[in-house]
Amino acid sequence: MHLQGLSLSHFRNYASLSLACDLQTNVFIGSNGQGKTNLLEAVYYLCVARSCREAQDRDLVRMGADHFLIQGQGRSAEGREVEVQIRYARPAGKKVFVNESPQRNLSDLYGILAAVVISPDDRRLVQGSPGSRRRFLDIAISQSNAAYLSALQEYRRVVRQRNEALRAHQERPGKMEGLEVWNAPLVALGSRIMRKRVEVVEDLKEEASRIHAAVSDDSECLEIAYAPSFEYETLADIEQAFEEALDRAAPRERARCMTEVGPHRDDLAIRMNGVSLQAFGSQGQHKTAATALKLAEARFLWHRLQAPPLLLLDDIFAEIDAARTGRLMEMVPAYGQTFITTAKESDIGDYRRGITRFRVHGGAVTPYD
Amino acid sequence: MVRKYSSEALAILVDELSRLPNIGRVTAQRLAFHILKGPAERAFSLSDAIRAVKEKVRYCDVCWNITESETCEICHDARRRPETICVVEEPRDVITLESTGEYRGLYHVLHGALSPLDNITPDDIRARELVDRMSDSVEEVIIATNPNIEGEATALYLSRLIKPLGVRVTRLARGLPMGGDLEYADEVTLARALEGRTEL
Repeated sequence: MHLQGLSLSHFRNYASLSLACDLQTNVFIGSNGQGKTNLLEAVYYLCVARSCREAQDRDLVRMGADHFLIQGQGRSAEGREVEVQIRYARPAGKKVFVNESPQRNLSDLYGILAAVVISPDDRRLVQGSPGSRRRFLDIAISQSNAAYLSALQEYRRVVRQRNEALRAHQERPGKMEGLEVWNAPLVALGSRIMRKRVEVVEDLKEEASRIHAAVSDDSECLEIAYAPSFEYETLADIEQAFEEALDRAAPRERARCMTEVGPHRDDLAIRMNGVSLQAFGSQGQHKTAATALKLAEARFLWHRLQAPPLLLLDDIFAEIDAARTGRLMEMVPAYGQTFITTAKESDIGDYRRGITRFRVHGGAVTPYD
Repeated sequence: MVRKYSSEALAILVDELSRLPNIGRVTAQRLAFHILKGPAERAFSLSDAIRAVKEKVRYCDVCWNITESETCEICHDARRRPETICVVEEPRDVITLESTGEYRGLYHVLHGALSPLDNITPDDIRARELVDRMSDSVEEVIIATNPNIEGEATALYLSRLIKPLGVRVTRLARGLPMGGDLEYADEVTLARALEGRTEL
């Protein structure tokens, strides 16, 4: 899998850009605010049709413009020549084209190209709310399994319908019948999502602790574990446990008009040397753990898609000490096509062949020499 | 964008047209000028048709389909089999199913699907009316609500109402389109088709 060419118009601070990518390593060098991260964001958007910075689509449009366009061509995970184009315009929204044919569902885009971003925002994976960790899991799974994404979208709609039914029930008690019908799809879809998450966390767990041991030079032991919103005995029992949890939560749910159990309340527990990393641990340890999780995601996608995903490294030289960064950069060539941003060229060193340097300045990208 | 029209009547027409689904201000304006430019008879016949549809069209007393008399043509047709009732969300679904020419039973139009987000509760769809139609002669109810979560929830709700009455309740199959290649089916459809596979 790789990206050969990238074109942008009216995306972030780029009025227009056409870039021929190095199939191995692309390094974007420039001072802050020149548009380095925007390039990585564009590559990521091409893979999953959403921003890696949790930005709204309308905020990605260049100031003064009313639309943006991202276009890329390269080779898909399956090894086919592919051209992907995403257009966004207000108020029509975004449209995705693969080899010039319009795609009806976003899930049709997933798995053609895949990407993993490693950036300073990753701290949120450890420090942020459970929502950030669910988002991490969901994107990793969706990129390797389009059916998961559509189950997730349906599940979210069921939760919203059910919450609304709870509210209607509170306003007009005695109308239970309208509420009960949402339990069956909640349990069916929710259990499917949970089984998939359990399976994927098992895969990620080993990779993450192996990678973390390598980056931290074996001084620390990283463990991750799936933390569901209710207990169950075995995977086969999830549906039954889910229904029992709903029964127990019923009084609370009716009081708060919220669906209180299910995969939308899951978390991912992250521990280092046996203690919760969220509560303890330094900024640097948080960053290293988050980076290990992201590299584990890349390994996972590689394994599932049978091709290494695009690796997007955004300003990874800040916040981690030089020794760890050095060990990290030694690992990177073992992945696929890589896009790196940095303020200082010296951070990169000459760690391998097959590297193209670009200078990024004021929304323009030129060869670096 | 507020546009000024030199005629009040024209402004009202643009306003009214822009209330229609999928019609924005620009399209509404184009349609209004088209009507204005065309022959008067054409415009009057359009306004008569709109008036007539509101004055003459009503719902069938039995199945709630669209009709101009007390009961619709389908309910009236002695050749249709009254043992089977096919439940759909909207009158347009009846037209779609009829175009197959395969179905010989009767219909029941719910006029919606359960959706608390849109304030549609069991009281807002014609569910009670369906239960009232269950007599000894009804053998099977085919639920043909849309294959989305609202349609599925509605199907579940209706089956819980009707099954205890001893009537067979079935659901339209979900699966692969005919004439397609398995290779090109999307994963979701394929997964559903696998779930709903049938014995040969």
